[in-house]
Amino acid sequence: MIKNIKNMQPNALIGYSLLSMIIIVSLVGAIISPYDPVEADFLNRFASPSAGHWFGTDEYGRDVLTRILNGTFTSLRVSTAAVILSVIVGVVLGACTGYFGGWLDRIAMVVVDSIMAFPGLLLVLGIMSALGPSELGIIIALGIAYTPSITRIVRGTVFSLREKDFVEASKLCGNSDWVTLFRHILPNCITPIVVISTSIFTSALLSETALSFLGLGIPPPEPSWGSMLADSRNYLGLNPWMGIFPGLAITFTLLSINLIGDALRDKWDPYMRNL
Amino acid sequence: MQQKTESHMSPPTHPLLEVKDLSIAFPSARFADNKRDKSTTPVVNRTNFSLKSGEIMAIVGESGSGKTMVARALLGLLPSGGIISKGSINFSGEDLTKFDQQQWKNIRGQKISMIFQEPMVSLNPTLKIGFQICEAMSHHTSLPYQTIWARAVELLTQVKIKDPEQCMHKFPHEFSGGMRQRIMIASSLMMKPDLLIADEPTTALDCIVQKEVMDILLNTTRNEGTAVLLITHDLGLVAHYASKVLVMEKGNVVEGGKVSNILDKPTHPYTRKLLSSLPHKPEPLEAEAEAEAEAETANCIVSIKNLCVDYPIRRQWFWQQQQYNRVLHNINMDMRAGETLAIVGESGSGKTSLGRAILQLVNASKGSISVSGIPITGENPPSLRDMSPIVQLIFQDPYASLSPRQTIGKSISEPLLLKPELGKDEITKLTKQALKDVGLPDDYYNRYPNELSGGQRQRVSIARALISKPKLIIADEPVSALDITVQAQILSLLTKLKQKYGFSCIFISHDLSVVEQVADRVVVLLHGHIVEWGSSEALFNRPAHPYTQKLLAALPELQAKGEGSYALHTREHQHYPLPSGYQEAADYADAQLSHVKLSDSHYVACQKTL
Repeated sequence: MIKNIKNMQPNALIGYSLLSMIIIVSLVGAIISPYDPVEADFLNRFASPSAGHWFGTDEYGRDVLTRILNGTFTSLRVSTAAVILSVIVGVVLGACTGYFGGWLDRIAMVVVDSIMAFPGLLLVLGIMSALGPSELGIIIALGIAYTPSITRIVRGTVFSLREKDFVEASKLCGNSDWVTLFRHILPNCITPIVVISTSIFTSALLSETALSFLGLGIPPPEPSWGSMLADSRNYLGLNPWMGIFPGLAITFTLLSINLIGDALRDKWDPYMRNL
Repeated sequence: MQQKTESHMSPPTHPLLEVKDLSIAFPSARFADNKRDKSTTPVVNRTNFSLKSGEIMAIVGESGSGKTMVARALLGLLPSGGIISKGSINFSGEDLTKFDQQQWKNIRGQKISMIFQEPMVSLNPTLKIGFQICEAMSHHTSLPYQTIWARAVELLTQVKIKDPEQCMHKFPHEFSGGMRQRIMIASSLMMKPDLLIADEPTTALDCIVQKEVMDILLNTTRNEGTAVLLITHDLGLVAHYASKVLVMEKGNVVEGGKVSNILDKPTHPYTRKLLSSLPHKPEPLEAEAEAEAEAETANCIVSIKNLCVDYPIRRQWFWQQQQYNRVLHNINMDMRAGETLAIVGESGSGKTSLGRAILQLVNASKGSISVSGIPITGENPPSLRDMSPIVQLIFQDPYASLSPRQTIGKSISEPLLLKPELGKDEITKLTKQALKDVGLPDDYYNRYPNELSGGQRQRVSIARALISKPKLIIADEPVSALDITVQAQILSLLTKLKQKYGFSCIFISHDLSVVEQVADRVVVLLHGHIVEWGSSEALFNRPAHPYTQKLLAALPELQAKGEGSYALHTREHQHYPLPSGYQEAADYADAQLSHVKLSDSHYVACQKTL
């Protein structure tokens, strides 16, 4: 374990430690914080950062730090779930269409292309208005919106791998199509999948913010970084830290995720392994 | 030793190019030994040579020998990080190692130019040929464009491009690889350079085209008085065309001098190793008669009747009728168990399709194939799983045939996983045995393919094909991607394994010298037709079809003359005519060929004279 950390590249180390710090601090902080993230305290509205309220308070007098710490889980949960959903659907769809081709491929690609033709946020808005603002609704909407890009990339990669000699060798060994697909083709797709999922993760996190901004995000008063940022927009001149601190939380999380994504790509790329 | 040869043959006149003590180095890998040191790794050590105008010199070596680095240093085009750590390059009185970018600009293309290995990518596909040829000259000189254009047309004529004026208005994709390489030759000679560096100019080409291009290259440079530095791995080519040669091994020049001297008396062990690795005619075996008799009774492992294979042409619109491109026409072939049958032909002749048809990787559109008595065409073809213990494939490209994410052991043992009766320990044992069979230590079991060299990967590929003990192995150009010494090792390994396991082998290759070494019988394919087939002995000594004769004549070959000495050997066959009343088919697209028996085991396909 320690040896692994020693061999890690500096960027990866920064990424991992930043993310684990964010998670641990949120966990501990949310428990030991003396304030309630939801309950209003009208005597302390718009307080500046002070010893009592490190990050100040918002328009209902709620402690911004406490809300950020509690919001970590909402925000990360939503984006992680959305990424997992779109990766599962996208990989299955992309692998099948890329490997088997034929009419399945044509139909799936028509669907995927038409989803891609919509501006992403518009699509999510449409789905959200059908599902109503709820956490599950956001997850499903974001998941659907990001599936096409994963499908496209996986399909393209599978398509090119399908013609490789080692895939042919697997068929000649007598392996069935599914074994060939799962044992030989999909492991070689990991690199692009990791790269695209980290970028999707970051944009899912931002989309959640944008949705909250538009009033379709996590329903209030539940704290999430996006809704906090959205709430702050009316008071930015008056009380800028209401927006600055959730914004910083988003920035550092995205930074750590991107660094981890780069590190994972380098680690899993077999051509980089012995460098 | 090197100095001695040099002084011995130092030219009386001032040489055009004089390389003294040239050393090239690269910075060491960053993570080597977990230390970041600033030391450098030498890739070329203290190389000396000189070249007179008009002379043709070859640098021979295997991949990683540093031969390309020397060539690149002469043009100031070392890959980033590479530096000339010592020595000088004296080119017509100036030291190139002290040049800056501006001075290089005046040398490159004008005084020294270069031809690259891969003709398919060295021309810009979006620009017309004429523009690309004239570009450099119009930058460097103030001549009127008409003069430059005329010079380009003249050179294109010299490299025997049909209709050169037309050619100037065409795009590169309208030409084949050989034609593009000719265009490259013309374009590199535009400015009348004093020195032309040709880095493996014909490695990517078929052997007949190779001969044409090399002949044109040398005739043209001779006419223009250009010195040529030929970088190659092909000793036959060197013997045929060059007057001096430099043999490089791992960055060191191990031997140099006149080609004839070196062939006659190779002194360095590496040169001898290179020469002895050349494919050679096998000694006639005494057991041959016995084998013949045995073959009579042996059964057919592959039997092909009237096989046609078509590939669909992509349709523009779905209502258009599906068109097909026929790649194999009426193939009839029988193969006896235990023999090695070679399928020979140029690229596009259908030899790989024939192999793939036997493997069921492409479907026959007409005719029938049966392998080991099992018909694999028709109503109910057996599944690939049923056929996997019978027929296996060895791939051409050792870098693409192994899954980069699977360990060697897993790759090899895969066919065994489908046999439920085998336990885990047994599979590991069998896999390690297979590794041992192909000459790899068994701790390679847990390695990944990227830790292996090309030759080692090819061994793994062989082990994987052999582990299910197939009756037939199809080897699709198994050695054409390998260096010559590795090639010799793999060929002898195949022969050894064949004796041990007694499989039959279909050996697909374009390299006739390799084929002569391994094959019992040979089938020559041309445009999807079998034009000649017969025993290796008959076909190589009495080629009947004009195409086979052309193939054999194009083969630059070295032959052992005796104790460690070699000489150039061209097959000047007396012209064996086709049987009377027959002629070579003029158009192979829909030719009706008759098969004429020449001797017991020798047939030729040709057209009846009308």
